[in-house]
Amino acid sequence: MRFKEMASKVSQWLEKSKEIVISSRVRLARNLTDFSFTHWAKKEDLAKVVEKVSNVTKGNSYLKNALIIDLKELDDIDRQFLMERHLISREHAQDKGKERAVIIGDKEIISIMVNEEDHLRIQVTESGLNLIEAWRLASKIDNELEKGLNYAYSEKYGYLTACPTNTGTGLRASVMIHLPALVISRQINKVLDAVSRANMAVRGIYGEGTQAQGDLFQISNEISLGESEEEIVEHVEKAAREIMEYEKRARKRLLTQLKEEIKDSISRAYGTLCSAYTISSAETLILLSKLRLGANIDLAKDIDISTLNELLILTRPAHLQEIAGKKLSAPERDVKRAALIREKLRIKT
Amino acid sequence: MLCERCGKEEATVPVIKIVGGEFTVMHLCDKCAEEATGEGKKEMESFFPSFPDLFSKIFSDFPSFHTEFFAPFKEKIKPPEIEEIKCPRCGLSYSDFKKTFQLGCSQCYETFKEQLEPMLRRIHGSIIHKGKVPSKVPVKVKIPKDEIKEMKKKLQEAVKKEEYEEAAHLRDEIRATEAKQKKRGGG
Ligand SMILES: [Zn+2]
Ligand SMILES: [Zn+2]
Repeated sequence: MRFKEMASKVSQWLEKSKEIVISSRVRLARNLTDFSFTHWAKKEDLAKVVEKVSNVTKGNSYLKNALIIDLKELDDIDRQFLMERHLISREHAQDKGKERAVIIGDKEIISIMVNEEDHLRIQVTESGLNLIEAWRLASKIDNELEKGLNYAYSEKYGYLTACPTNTGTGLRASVMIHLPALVISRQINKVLDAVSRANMAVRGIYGEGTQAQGDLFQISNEISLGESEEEIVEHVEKAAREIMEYEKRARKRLLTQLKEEIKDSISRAYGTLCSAYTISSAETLILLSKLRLGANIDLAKDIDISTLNELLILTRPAHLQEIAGKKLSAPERDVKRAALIREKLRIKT
Repeated sequence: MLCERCGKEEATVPVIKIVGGEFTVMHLCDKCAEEATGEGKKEMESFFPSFPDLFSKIFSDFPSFHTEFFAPFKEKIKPPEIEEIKCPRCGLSYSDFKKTFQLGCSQCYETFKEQLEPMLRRIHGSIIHKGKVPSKVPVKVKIPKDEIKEMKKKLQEAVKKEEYEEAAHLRDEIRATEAKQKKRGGG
């Protein structure tokens, strides 16, 4: 375990996020034309890809103090830790021993996965609804990287990716959005239905196959070919804005029609979080979601949203173990988690 | 390889499950592949127990990979012949591609062009890239003039055969390609 220091704080983009849209992320998939795609390449070629990308990174003006981490050198908890912080994907965290790396920029805004499904997955994450900024920065980093690398590109199909679902721009624009009022009022299906009709995907916050946890959803584009990056980004932003309005309306209605019930539910969530001696990860997410809603609609005025953001990540299993500096069993984690929550909520309120 | 569902029969079809909007590949025998659509729904529901009919709604009109994506090539060429096509550069065969839904190298896009283009069109609604162009595009990847000629020939054939949907796609693609070449001062 080697991330004790990093584990005590969350990244800045998350800490300062107070809105319904928590964060915006842009991912660009790129491959080197001289090598087979990751799943089909020889081990020594993958090592060369890591070396080439690492070297080019060192000269990149956006990645001056970047950490270059060889995933082979990390234990399971370290890799899960990076996943919990959204710096690497679930897939990238699996299969120990493969030639894989992650390059993490200053403030954790930029991360580049090397030898994930594609040779490069350039990711930029910004606070709130800000996909345009995220795309601009990702593109600038890409421009500099491109000077030192030979990208697989076709005039006709655009950037060539391992999976045909990413061909073209190689772009995935996604937003993490908190929709508790739509879930409580059972209107969420209408939203998700409309989103999918607009050729967009909805998933839980930790990517493929994960459950929507704590009323957090990730909305992203499905189509990467035939539309320009600006058009894709604009479509996702527009969808996010509409969903946000819908959530606001649901919140208003809850406040006018069910104020006492909602207030009760939020106060109970606060009570449990402040006094529990042992608490699971799932229960924590549910209660934090209620508290966040309370803070947003002024029913829990004393709660600082950045504390809630912090708890969202610091209470995840690998974070608790990095903080403790040792492997913990699930019941041990539940006790540590409850203690951490009590401490954070008492200090800040 | 054996079927990932029953573990008894030889896996013959890759079935793409769509979980939370993402593709996951499972290798199944014929019998299990047939049953997979129904089961996939059940599994997805267990991911989202609080919204039981979410996925049935979202994916009701979603094409199942195995039936829709691969259907057109099965009609045109006999399956054994497609399976045997191999990328000269990386050695990936079409049946390898079907197993993982991942291509082997950039050359694969050329090797499996006939199979890939209808697939890209199904996924994205287009096969012509419209976005960013790297500053140093090697000359060899520019679209050759012949390609537009070839597309126009295909268009005429499609019109002759009264395949109007195909013709409309080709017309859009020719337009998009010509617009792109004009913008960059020729191919
Ligand atoms: Zn079977
Ligand atoms: Zn190939």
